[in-house]
Amino acid sequence: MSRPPKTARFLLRTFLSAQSYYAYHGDIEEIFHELAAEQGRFRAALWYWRQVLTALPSALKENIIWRIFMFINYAKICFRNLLKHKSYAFINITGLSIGLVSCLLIFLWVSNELSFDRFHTHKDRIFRLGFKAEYTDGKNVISSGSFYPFAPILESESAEIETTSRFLVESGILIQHENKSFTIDRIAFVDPSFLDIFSFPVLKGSSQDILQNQDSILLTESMARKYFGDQDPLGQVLTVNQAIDVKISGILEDVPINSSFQFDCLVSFKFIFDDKNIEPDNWGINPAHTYLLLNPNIDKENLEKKIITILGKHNPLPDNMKISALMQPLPQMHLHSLEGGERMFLVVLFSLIAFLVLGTACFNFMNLVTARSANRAKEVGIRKVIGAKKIELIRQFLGEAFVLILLALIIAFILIQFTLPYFSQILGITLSTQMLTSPGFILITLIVLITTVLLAGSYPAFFLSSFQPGRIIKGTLSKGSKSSRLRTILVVSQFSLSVFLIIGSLGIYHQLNFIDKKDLGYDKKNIIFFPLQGNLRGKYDTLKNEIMGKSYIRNITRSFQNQSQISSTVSKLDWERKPQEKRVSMNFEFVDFDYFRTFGMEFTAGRPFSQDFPSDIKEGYVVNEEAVKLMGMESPIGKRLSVFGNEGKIIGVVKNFHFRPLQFQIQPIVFGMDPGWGDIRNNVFIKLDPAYMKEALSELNNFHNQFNPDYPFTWMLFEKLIEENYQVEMRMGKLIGILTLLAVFISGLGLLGLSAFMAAQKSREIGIRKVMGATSMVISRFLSKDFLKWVFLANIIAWPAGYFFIDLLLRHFSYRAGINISMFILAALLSLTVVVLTIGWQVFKASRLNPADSLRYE
Amino acid sequence: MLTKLEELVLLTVLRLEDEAYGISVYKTIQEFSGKKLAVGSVYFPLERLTKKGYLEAYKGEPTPERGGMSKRFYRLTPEGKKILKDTLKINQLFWKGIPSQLGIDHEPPA
Repeated sequence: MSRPPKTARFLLRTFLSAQSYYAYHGDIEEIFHELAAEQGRFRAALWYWRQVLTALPSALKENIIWRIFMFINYAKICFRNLLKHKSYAFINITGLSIGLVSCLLIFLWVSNELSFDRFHTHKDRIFRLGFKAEYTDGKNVISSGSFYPFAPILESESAEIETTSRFLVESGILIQHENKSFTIDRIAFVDPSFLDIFSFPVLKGSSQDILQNQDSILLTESMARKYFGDQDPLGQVLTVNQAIDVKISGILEDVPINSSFQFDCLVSFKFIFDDKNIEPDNWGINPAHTYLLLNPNIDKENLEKKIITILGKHNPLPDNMKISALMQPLPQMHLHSLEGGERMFLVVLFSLIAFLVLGTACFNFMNLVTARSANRAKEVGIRKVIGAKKIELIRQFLGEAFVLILLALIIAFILIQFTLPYFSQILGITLSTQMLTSPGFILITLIVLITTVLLAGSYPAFFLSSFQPGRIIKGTLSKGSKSSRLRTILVVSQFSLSVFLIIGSLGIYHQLNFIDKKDLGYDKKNIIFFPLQGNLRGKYDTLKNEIMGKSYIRNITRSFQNQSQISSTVSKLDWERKPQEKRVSMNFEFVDFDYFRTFGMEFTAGRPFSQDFPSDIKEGYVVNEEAVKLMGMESPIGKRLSVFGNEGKIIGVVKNFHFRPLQFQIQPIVFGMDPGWGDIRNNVFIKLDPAYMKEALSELNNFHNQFNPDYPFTWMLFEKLIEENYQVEMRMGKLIGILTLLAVFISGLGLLGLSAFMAAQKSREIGIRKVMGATSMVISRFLSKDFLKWVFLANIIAWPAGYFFIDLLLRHFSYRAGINISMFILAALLSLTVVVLTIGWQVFKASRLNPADSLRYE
Repeated sequence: MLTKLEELVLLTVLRLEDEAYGISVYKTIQEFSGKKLAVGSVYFPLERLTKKGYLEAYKGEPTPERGGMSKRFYRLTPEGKKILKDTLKINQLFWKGIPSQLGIDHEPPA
């Protein structure tokens, strides 16, 4: 059977959808079939179209004209209501704009986070190679780095891999051009195929073989502009580290902020070995990342197994340690760090909190509209009597919600312009206002807008539109009582959220305070840190001799790693009576004399490295208490210990101290002085006399400039360096703190509106009570009773949730401040204070009311 | 008073008995009058008459030829029958003596 033309049928049904037309749709279709049978489908379709088209104009006219009339009426009523109840409009719009600002800012950040590394053409075929080592003692180590020599071997021995590139960023490297010199913050060492794997557009220069030569360098556009201005940078020669000349062979587009790789220039990976005396075939250290570009359709798991086979061939692994390869897809790298990063957790957490803050504002809207429903009841009654259908009323009230929320959204966008820089600063990234107009963000905004309208507007719309006109007009409708239970639920949930967030913030601040005050096992105060660069490299002893005599210098030492972040491990270990089968790893660090004295660490046995014992340099080892426990030694002093194959003796046991952030347990560690592959101790730590900090720093600066004129003196307080380990927690704390304030503020606003409404509603009751002899005290108690009950209830709900929240936020910390009952009590007091402050004025006003005023019209 | 079209529609509905719905009414009027009508032209009188209470509508069974929609059937209410009788009387009154002037021998039935 042939069907009428779809479009025409659709038009007919859409525009002639009124009930009375309904039967004709069937009639017209029947005629169509008859015609189709007699004269063919084409003529029938023509006829059908003609019917529809001739009917349309008048149908449309009727439809549209009436819609316009109704729309004008709705708009008029809507704006009249806004103007008539300015304070309610203000409360709603303020709350909603604040909610929308926090929601949209967070979503802006989230969309940036989710877009990380997705702009690469081959993103689905790019993997980062990491490893997981499982030791027999139950310890697992996951590392996203790989061994220096592995990438080229893999490329030649595995058919599945198209190409590979290593990636390592160094900072503060000196670059000279003619007689200008500057340091580049982020210089990236990569293999020639780096630009084949990743899509960083080359603006100038040929992208082919651009990194082949060891003497070429690629600058990003802004870097080139910074140092060459309008001059053509191509072909210019730069001197790196005062040693090697490189030619600028290309200019790259600036790296977008949603890239995990951040660099200012690219140079060949081969470069690295000349500078940092690390032998290319070293399998022990793995600070560089290796990226693999696979051929299409390669099975990841098989390849991971194959990689381990290849690894075993070149670097025989200890029997009692199982190592497996972890190939991580590029787009996952940012949010799901192999080493246990926070980002995905933070993205989810903050999206949720932002959404709840917006929800708080929506609740305000629902509360205020339903509470004041009596004001609109007559309008609803009249509209219904005249013939409005429920769906039309729902549409009207949803429309009103839409108008209000749209106003709030416009205000929110203006506020975002001002708050974005501050927000970026908290997060430590640069979000630009241009991102606000990107299509993705506009889509997010629309979704947020529609969600908000539905969330805030649908309940009031259904509530208002379901009034029965008879009861309204007779006046038997009790004012807003039906919705009072819902209102209680909404207010209680708003306050639960506030209390919950207050507890979370307090938990984080408590932990940050704990971190600040915690005895780390050493003295972190008055120590400055700077790297040995340029001329100073290899001249540490000269530096030391020069300044050691000065009165403001207490101690000077140097080390391989940042003392608060020692993460390198060694598994090539042997010691006296080590059980043959025992395979362990320890952290290691190479330091100079006075290391332990500079940091004020204590010894439980033996002594630190000393100039009085020249043999310490080659043969002395200091271990911590954990290491002694691990090796199972009774009296460790004088025992044989071999690290990286260098034989030596244990000369001292240092008391356990935190050489990693407090997220981590104290692990066994061994300290030596000479790694056997060149001097890598390039971080200088100087303990200063706190009384002469300023003088000391200016003299050190002079000294540094004399020695090393090309480098700026970039020193840092060691305490700051430690603080940087907790950046994520500090940012999280700040953000949760701000969101907490906003949530509290919004719920306070709602409470203000609600209490004003309730006081007005109960004004007659208050009047009568007063006439009967109630004092202001009694009236205040009577008015605030409900609110206090709600706060109490909110606290009961939020406490257990808050407990788990803190637990969740601090789950990475091995050392925690603990959860304190005082935080919960403080949260309760804070919420109570907010309630008392917001409703206080209303209660005060109402309790002072002159009964004659409220009862005059009775 | 009924318009001419309304009168014809009422008469047709009465004539068609159980089969009176939009299309059948339209076809019958077209057939009897020998004039081409627009399909839509019968719907307004049908609805107007229903509103005035001379007709009442009831639903038939939906059929596939109608896109799954049911027919809207009509039948005369007692008021409808009464108004037809009144119309007949008025018509007879107005037609009295007219046919002979038109050169027609006998009077038409209505």
